[in-house]
Amino acid sequence: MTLPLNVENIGRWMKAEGAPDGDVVLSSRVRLARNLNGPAFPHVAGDDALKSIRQQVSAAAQQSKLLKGAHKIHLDLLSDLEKQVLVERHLINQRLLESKYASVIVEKDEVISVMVNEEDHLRIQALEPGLAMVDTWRIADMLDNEMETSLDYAFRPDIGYCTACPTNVGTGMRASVLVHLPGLVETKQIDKVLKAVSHLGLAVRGFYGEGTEPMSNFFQISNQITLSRAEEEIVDNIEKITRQIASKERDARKWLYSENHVHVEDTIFRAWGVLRHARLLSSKEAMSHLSSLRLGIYYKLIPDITSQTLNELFVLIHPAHLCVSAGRELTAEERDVARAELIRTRLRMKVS
Amino acid sequence: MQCKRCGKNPAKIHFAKIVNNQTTEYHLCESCAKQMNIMGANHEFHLENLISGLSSEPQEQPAAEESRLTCPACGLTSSGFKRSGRLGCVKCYEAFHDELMPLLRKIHGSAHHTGKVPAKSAESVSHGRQRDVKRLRKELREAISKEEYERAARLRDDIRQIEVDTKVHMEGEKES
Repeated sequence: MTLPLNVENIGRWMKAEGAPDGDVVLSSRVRLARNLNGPAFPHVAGDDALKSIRQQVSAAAQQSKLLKGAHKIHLDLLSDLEKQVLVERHLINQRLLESKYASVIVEKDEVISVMVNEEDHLRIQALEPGLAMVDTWRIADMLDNEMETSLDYAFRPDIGYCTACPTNVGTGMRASVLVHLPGLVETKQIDKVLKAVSHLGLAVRGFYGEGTEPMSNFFQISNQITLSRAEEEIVDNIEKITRQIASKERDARKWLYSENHVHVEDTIFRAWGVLRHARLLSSKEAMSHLSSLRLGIYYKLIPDITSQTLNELFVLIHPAHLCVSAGRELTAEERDVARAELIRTRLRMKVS
Repeated sequence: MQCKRCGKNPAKIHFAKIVNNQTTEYHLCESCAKQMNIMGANHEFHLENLISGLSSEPQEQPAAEESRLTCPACGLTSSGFKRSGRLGCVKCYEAFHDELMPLLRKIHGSAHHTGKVPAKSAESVSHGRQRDVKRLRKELREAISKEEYERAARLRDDIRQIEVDTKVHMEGEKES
């Protein structure tokens, strides 16, 4: 089975122009954990049960208007490389790769998707560009309602949606934003901000690309508590806090520039030079320079490049994407060559 | 700063985990972080790994009683749940109700759902909540008679919450 996705491009969620607070917030995501009433959760269920769950969810998706024309991808039919492409596009996670009879149903814009037989029977996901937590929740909620018309969910009035892990029970909702905070990192305020955020019941972690090193200046903020709060309350909370962080980040960026604009410009133009001319780029080096370039776009120092171009590159420069584009497995050095070439080409393209 | 676990390598991974205002700080080198499985699949800090630590101490329950606690539907045992941090099926929520409730309160601060209700369950919910209140009132009386005032306060809050929700729910129905 070949992947029914265009690996030269990425989903709408990272492409949209003029995303709200897009200078700081890359994306908003909502994930709902759901289980069917009856069969055991995937980590306990037998093969027949897992197959039947997959069939039921697939049939429910067939009835859904939001999932019209969606791709149903059975993971067991994919090569390891193709599976990694799905991970790099944030459509599935590593855990789904370890599950049996796992599938993902992906709507063609890649805004909504449903993982089947991960830790829970269903993981409904919606992903929107920029800070759009409330809208993203609405989309996930609508898809959940559609699926529910043909599925019988495991639900108890006292504790809500039943999930395999007690940390997800209740709303089953994990809402998160991906933010770019170079200003707060550079002015060393980041620890203070992140600590304050975690006191508000939210979890913050570095955003990981390849390996265990957090990617330069990217952070993911999500709710920790899923029970005893309503969904609207959770997304509203994240949206408000993120808006405050975004405004602090902009203050820091302004301050940095006014304090020492030569230093700021030097970092940005060095990154610009490396990205436009380098012949070998590791994932880490590329990410770090792309992060600087993103800041350069904010300061309007870099002409003709949009942050959407960079958002796309953040996905396309990952190993599996490079290999699938090349049509074969690449060695680490070949990947660095391909990565440098892709970045050079994309950054030379004029915005049409 | 040196890794707080092995004391040999420089600490590269720093984070604080705050659950219900209890802070645990970690300063680790990469290999210790890997060994502790802090960056497991998906690089998420796996909360379920902490669950075994959160649930009530094993010595509180006599071994014989614990082995009897088994979910009739999927066969998961209480100790199996504590090991994996995951439940086996929806019936586990009944089978392990007594140990699950305090655990949910520790994780989420409260153990009462106030969010979305599937349309199919909506009718039965208000009825179910009334039943909950009856059960909680009984537990509250027991707690008071045993002078377990902390537990009683929690139960009182839970009852209040349900009553507020039910009222909102009924008002919403009247409007529609």
